[in-house]
Amino acid sequence: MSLLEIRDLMITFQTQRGLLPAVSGIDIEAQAGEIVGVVGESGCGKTVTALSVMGLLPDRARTSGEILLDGTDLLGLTPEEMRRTRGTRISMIFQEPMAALNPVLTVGRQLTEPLVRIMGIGESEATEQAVRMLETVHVSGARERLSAYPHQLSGGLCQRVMIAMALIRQPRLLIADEPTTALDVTIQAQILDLLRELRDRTGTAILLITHDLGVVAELCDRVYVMYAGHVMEQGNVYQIFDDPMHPYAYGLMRSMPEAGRANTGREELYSIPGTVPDLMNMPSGCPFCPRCAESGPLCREILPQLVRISKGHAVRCWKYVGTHRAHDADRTEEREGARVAR
Amino acid sequence: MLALRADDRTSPAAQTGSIPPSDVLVRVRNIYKHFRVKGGLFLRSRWLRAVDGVSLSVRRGETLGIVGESGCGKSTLARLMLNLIEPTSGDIVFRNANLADLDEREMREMRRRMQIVFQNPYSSLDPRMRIADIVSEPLRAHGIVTTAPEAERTAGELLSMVGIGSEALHRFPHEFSGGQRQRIGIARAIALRPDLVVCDEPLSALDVSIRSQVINLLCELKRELSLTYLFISHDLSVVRYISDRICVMYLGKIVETGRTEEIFENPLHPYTRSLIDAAPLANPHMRNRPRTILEGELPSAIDPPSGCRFRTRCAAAADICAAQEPPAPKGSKHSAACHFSEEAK
Repeated sequence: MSLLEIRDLMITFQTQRGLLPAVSGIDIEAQAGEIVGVVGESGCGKTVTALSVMGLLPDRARTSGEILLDGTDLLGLTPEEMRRTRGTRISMIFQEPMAALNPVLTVGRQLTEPLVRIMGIGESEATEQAVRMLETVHVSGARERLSAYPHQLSGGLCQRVMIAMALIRQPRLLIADEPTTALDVTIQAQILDLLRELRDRTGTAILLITHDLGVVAELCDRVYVMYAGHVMEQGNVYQIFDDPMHPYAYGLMRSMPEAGRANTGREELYSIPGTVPDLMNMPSGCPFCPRCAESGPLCREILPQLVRISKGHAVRCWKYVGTHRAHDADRTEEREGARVAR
Repeated sequence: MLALRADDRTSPAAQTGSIPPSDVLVRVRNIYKHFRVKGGLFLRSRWLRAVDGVSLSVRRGETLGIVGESGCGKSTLARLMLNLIEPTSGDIVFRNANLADLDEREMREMRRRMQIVFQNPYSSLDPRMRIADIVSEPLRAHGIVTTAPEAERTAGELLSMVGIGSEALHRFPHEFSGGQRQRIGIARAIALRPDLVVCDEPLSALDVSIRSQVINLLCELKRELSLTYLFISHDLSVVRYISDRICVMYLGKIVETGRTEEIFENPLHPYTRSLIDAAPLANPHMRNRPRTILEGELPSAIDPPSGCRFRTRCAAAADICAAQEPPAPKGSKHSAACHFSEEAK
């Protein structure tokens, strides 16, 4: 059984202009010890998905589907049960470590609070654990840092403290939402190394939410490429980068000025025309269709299923329908059946 | 407050190299910008050395990339070059005129020739102005167009150059996506047909699929309008793609300069090497490549390390690095401010 299994997750927001479909039926899995990337551009639904796993969506969000963590549906938990799950079984780190830490509490207080208040560990033992945790994330002078306030730390150090806080109760799943976007490249490399090391050492699964394909290629085992609330392609990191199948996925890859490639701006860089569709005003059929050079009449009408290309590699595009078998065909039928029965 | 004691200057005046003067559009000569930082109640105020002795020249028609991490002084340098802030000391010579010598009217005239594209396309357009007014504002400010229909027609032409239809003229910034807003910002920057356009992280707020559109637009406009770019970015892959030459900055100083391929194929400064190593590659087969990950963090620009500023994070630092500051890169040759850069060659 997978550690995390998101099944047919739909998230809509009640807005003044009407219902906004942020996530339109996605399936995502993560095994214990796996680093899974969810990559996409702004508005694709990646952060909303992360927040829904943490149970942190605002009240105006409507959620359906299942989010199974070790077989328990998180969407069925009471607020109190969810509160206990957060921190112990799932934790999250955020893009802006400075903003995510409490500015008026010391680092030590923020680290020890869950241990003392929730787990009932004594102050001195909690302090020892906090020091060990800071050492684990390679914060130098860990004991002295306990009395520091977040504003006294740099962005990189704040992110280390965030990671220490997230991992102090040994969660099974760590959700990292753009954990290095606000950091400089040399600090980003340090934090990515740290995440990889922590996974190797503790076996915590990591769900990495990012827009940066470079970060995905450096860190992830498996990848989901999202666009406008749908998973467009999924596979292991080599399948996705060596052999992207969806026009959006390979368009993204080709539009990156690769750091390893020589060019001085003489030759035009590939670019995907147009912009991301307005979620309030989604085209029918495939959401990528208006920007796709290979779209046909069918694309404008009907959203294709995910099609299995090879083991673990699936793509949502009509190009491959018929030539390949529907991904998870059995499960989809089962689900459709269940829906009819309801 | 702006005057600085001579003994605060740490590096000798670096001479720019052997480029014929006529090819140089902007020459920056040993420029310093120190900001005053207030101490506590009884603490004396201190100086933050944002730009600390930088010399460089931008040649007509080239794209000069400035790379460095936050706090290295790259944005301050750009603002100095546009005379948006006054240097503590040093000169900016633009089209053979020293900006410090110009009076208000002359400076105003000079500003037509230098424009900027900002990082954040959301905050750099006035939300209450229509697109036509935003794009034509520089033209009206300089009295180049005076009537409303003329302004609108010119704005329409400029927008079409950046790939935006004329239906945008009467709309407001909030109706556009980030990429479209950045195009509008670019249209405004080229309105006066400037010689120099400073691009201060123009892509970092944009999505990947939009970023390449804007890169192509910048390259195309440069060819069509014979522009010169000063391109500031922390993203090495973009800088490599777009720049002819590169200056790498660290803590207020240029540590390495050279042609783009020289910098990437044979980085001489250990900082440049670690920047290149740290940049993530979109190729999972390369993830176990040998590389050095820099330890520690950027020291404070208020109290920078003695000698070489990079020595506190440098694996190859020796005694000389603390005692003596390495000479700044000179001229247009590929060179680095490192005591050991000759050996790296």
